[in-house]
Amino acid sequence: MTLLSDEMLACKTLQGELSAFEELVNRYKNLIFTIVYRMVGQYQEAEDITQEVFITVFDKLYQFDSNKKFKPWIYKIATNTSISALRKKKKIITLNFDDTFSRQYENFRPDYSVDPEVMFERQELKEFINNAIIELPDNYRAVIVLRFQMDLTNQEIADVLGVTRENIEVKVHRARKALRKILIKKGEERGMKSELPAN
Amino acid sequence: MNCQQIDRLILQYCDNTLPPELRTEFIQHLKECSSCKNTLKLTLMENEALKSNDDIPSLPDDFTPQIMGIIQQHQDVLVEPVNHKPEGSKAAYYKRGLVISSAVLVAALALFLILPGRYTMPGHVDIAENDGVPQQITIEEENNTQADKEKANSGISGMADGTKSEVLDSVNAPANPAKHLPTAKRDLSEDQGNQSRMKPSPARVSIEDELQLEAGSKQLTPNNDHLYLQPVNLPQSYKLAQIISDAHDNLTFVYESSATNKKLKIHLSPIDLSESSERVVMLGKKAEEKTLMPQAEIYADTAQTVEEDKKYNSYNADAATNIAICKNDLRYNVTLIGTMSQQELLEIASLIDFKEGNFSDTKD
Repeated sequence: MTLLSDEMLACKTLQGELSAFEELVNRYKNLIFTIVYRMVGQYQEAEDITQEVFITVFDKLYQFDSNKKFKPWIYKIATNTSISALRKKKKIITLNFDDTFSRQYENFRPDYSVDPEVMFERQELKEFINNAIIELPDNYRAVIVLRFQMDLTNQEIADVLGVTRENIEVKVHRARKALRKILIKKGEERGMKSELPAN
Repeated sequence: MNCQQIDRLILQYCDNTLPPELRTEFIQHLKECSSCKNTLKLTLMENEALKSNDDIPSLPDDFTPQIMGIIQQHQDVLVEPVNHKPEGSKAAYYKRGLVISSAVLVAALALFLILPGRYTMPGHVDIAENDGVPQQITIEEENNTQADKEKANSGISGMADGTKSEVLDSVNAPANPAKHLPTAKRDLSEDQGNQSRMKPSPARVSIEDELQLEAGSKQLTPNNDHLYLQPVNLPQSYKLAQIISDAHDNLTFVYESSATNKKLKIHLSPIDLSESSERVVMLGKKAEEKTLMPQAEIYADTAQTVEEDKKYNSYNADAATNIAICKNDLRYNVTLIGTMSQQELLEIASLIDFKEGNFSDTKD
């Protein structure tokens, strides 16, 4: 069973072999949990959503095109389920990714006259970044998580999110800008204000 | 290269996807600009932090068994209603069955009472003399036997299989209606062809029918009690030339433009909900609604419809489109075929409406 491809396991599941699906769960549970955890930022909630993702995958497996790769398909379900859960929780409708949110970060270009290694210790930067990701708009978060955490290429993210590669390039750029802005703000709040030049 | 350009290309540089010529310029700028150098350094640090997942907690060990348990339960729930029908529900089940049977019986009775008013019985065709007095003639029904096939091969088309046909003559009756009969026959065949997409049903008519129809310089008129949907709001130059009906409630209205000699055929076919309910729901949610089919469907159907029409008509249709309409909770598929451009046909399709009428309405 372990030698079979994901796509083969999906086919076997459709033929009624639950053990094949069990293998898929084992292969993907940590990856999916990583996406979901980064998206929602809370352990218990992330675990519940991860469960929901696998149940959705099982329910919708008949829709999976076995000529395509299983990984983007399950990532898409994970991303959509996470975004959907976040929106339910916030009870707000997030505006289109590229519209309102992106504009405010577009021209954010601080002048870094200070060595960033002086600004942030590496461990501290990780904490800042993980907290900053949670503050990003949902769609920005999805792109950042898929691009850096899951190490997908822009084309792979485009396949997952159902948009063009060029669109993802723009999104990644804007998401990074947004992240940088939040990061600088956090640095300032922590007392780095004097060390950071004004934007 | 300035700082703004560096800022735009920095991720590509980090991903090592920057084209060589830009990369050289990029590095050159970094050598001269400490701010951009710091930006790059911060970006690399961020990349490293973003890729780190050492803070991600582990899932519980029993996560997989939990999932599989839920899925197993899920499957059991799906199977349960079939395997375990509650005893208590049997009475209600049979009661519901009785109600449905009664409803079907009532509906059948109603149809039996209503239909004779709308249609002649199978095997009979109402044919009116020129004076408009209906005369009933009998068409000999034929089974789909080998003999029929031979007749068909000899080029005789018509109707049969218990189907009846009413060829409703034109309001603007041509001087020699017989001249137009071949068109009518082709129309019938085509109607059947269109219909066969839903219900395969070969069409045939006996030689006697053929002769009677041809001899029928007799005008063929519908029973005035017949109610059917009739296109209205057509451009004024289009005059109704012919109405063709068959036993499956399919109606074809043939129009000719007095100004341009263009021909337009509007074919109304009731949609069988049991066979194409999904499409109907999609196209006809609101009653009294006229909906153009999605473009993709139009074009898919158009080529085939035009091709079929060319086979059966003396004129070459070069445009066709479909509309779905709802009237009084009945849904119809309307096919427009015309000797005009697709654009012109679509314009007409968007203009026309349908109303219930009988033949006397049409005459007006």
